[in-house]
Amino acid sequence: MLAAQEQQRSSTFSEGEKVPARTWRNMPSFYNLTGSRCNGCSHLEFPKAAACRKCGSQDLSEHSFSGTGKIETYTIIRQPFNEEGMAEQLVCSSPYAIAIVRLDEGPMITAQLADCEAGEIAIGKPVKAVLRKISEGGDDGLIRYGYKFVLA
Amino acid sequence: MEKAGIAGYGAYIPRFRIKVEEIARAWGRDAEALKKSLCVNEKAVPGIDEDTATMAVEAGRKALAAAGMPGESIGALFIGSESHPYAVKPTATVVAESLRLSRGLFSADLEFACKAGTSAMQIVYSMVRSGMIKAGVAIGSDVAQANPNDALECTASAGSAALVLGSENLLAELDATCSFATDTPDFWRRQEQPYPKHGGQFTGKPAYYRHVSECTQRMLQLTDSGPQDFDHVIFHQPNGKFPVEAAKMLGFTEKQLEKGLLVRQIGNCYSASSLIGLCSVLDQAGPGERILMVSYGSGAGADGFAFRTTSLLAGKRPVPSVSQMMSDNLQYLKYEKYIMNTRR
Ligand SMILES: [Zn+2]
Repeated sequence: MLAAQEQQRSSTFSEGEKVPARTWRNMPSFYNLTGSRCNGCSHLEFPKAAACRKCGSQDLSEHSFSGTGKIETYTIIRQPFNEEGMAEQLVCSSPYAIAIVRLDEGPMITAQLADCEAGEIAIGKPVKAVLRKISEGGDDGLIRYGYKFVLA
Repeated sequence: MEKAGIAGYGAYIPRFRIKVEEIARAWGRDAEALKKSLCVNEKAVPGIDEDTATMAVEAGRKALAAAGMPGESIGALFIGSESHPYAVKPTATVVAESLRLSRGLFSADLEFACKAGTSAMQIVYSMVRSGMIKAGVAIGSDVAQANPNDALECTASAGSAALVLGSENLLAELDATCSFATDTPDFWRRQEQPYPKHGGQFTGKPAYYRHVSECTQRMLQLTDSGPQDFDHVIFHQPNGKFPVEAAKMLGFTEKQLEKGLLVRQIGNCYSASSLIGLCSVLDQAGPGERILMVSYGSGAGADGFAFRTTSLLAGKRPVPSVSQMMSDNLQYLKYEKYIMNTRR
């Protein structure tokens, strides 16, 4: 899940950055699904873009998504995680589901589906974003909160 | 002084449950005896990635939406819990950021065992009445901890409730509030200890019953009312027995108690316990009805509140309702999975 979520957020991830700084910088997107809206052509993107993918304009403003959407596709991961030496301990237990969610406003977003069993998940089912613990660096680390989706 | 009351409310209960039978099975105990002594059948369990902050955000988002108020209009946030995720670093800032509250926010985390959420209400209420803020949010949220195989394990649960207190567009007016507190050693947890300890039988008479009844009597005096003048009464619910006995002792009927008595199905959500009871009553009450709520926090103290619902209530109810969260999409856990979800 780390790979999937971090890839999704690659535009807000910079190499070598420490956890507190990265956590703090990503709060708007992690807490409130804040992406961007193009002032030229109204195109919406998540995560926040530096330039509009549709018309190339750099005149963008922040846009927070409502957090409701539908499951476009998903996969169940049965591999255990949190191997020794991993920098951040993820807060979830395997098996767990990762979905690509089509937000009602259009953009797609990759995230964990929380609170559900594999048998409950189906393509097309409505979901909504919730705030959950993403990772915690052991018993004394920083707790990183962010979005996951639950069945609506 | 400004009039003040509830402009919005929201409760959150996780979807997971564990039955007392399942806990009893794990430890080879007599389930029927446990259920009979506690009057609790099952309790709410958090998801593995849920904590006091995430549940407070869920409840807070619902309450703000029900109030129809944007986060920037909120001037204060106080969160009561005995399971704040950090020893040092506020829950309130995580929640404020997620609810997009104003940057000039008055905020802090509170602790007073199970009554910390109602202490938050009193602070926000007095700020509204003094005119310091237009509206504020008070939250009680807990992921309660219990030592495995302690009787407490059958009741300590998880939940959250948020109230938007303000002076306009009220769904219930707050007529009066009071408190009663003494130094009573019924329940405690020392720094860096994972589980609380309690005084067994001592948690009843000198602790819960004394503080709840003193506070209730003060509330009746303060509002110049008798028990029969209230349509609904909510007491803190550490188990299914104490609030029922307290109601009987103080002259309230089962009917006055029933809409806010949830402990048999969700357990004791600590700081959220009496508040979720209040949300459940607000989900069902008609206009012009009077509600008495008395919380209890070990150590010990009780906070009392008298409310009067308005005609706006019917149009400001959050979805899903408390009763929906108690019946829809429940998932029952085996003991092993329960331990994974509650390990902190
Ligand atoms: Zn564009």
